[in-house]
Amino acid sequence: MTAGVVFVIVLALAFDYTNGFHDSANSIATITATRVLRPQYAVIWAAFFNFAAFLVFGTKVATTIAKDVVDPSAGVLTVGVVFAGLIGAIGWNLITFYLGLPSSSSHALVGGMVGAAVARAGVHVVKADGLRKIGVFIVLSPLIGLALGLILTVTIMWVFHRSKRVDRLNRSFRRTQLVSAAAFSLGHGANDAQKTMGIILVLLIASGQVAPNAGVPLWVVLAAHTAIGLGTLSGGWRIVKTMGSKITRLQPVGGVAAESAAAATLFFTSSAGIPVSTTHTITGAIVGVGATRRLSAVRWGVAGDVVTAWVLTIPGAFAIAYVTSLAVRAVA
Amino acid sequence: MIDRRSLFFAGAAVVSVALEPLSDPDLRWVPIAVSITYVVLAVLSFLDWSSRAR
Repeated sequence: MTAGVVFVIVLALAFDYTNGFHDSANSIATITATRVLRPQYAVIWAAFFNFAAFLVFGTKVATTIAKDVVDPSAGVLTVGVVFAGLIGAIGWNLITFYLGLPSSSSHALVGGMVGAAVARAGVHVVKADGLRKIGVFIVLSPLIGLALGLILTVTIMWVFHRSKRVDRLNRSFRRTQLVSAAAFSLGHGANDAQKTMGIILVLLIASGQVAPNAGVPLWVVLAAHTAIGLGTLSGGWRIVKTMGSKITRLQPVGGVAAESAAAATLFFTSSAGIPVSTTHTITGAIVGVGATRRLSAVRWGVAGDVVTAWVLTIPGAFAIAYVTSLAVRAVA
Repeated sequence: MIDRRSLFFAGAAVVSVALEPLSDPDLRWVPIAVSITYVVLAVLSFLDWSSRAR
């Protein structure tokens, strides 16, 4: 393996680490807000399930990223193109972080890969079917999370509406949050770690380390899950404001419903091999929980951020990756 | 005055059904199921709103 390949693999794992760091708030927001676990234990809980996801889910999302975004048989996916794609995704994430604009690492990665490949060989190397599948679920995943979050909350309220022991009920839902947070972390680990696996698989195929029809090597699976788990472990320490209070005020019941709804959406999309934004999915689920009360209980600015991210992220990452890919080509 | 929540759900149903032709043949049932769910939610939300308004 050349130094260039190793460097880009490390860059991909660093992207995965920042993904875990960035998204740890989503995983532990409700269990820390309701004081079920202290933040330091909550991040360990979330990181463990991020890592354990490799035991439960396959690598279909990784295969989609590696083979359904840019045609691997076109010979355009060189180490330089993968590097430019990653720079596009990381660069866009940094710019939006600095400007305070909403973004999605997952969409940025897809935009970056497409931009880098198009700069190298033109639009014909882009696989329209794969992009369409991803594009449809960019919009559908928050809508599925929203509907499930709302339906779960209403169902729970209906089942327990006669209960007079409110304190006891709250206590039991606080404990149930451990399970729902674990399920969400499992879904997050499954979908997001696999995107990095896909990038590394592309790189290994491009450099001739594995055959074009090969699956994801076990060491790549373990490295990607370790990176996202470590990112989650580090990210929890800087949590100031949680997702729960940013969108709508969540009670333990709402926390369980939102996390379970988002987990179910991520389980489904990961099993079907569809990369989605975990942040947008949990945002949709929390909006769904808030919408059971009234629309004004939801801070719609956050939901609007999701739509802004849909519009901006892919073109933004595309543009940076496009320019980087041209620069890499000129230098090489 | 109109129930904004049912309008939102109706809008989500329209968006979901519009995505059906773009979906993979294997996954076409997903936007259809999501759309039907939002239609039901819109109707229920409207009934809830109108019963409260009365």
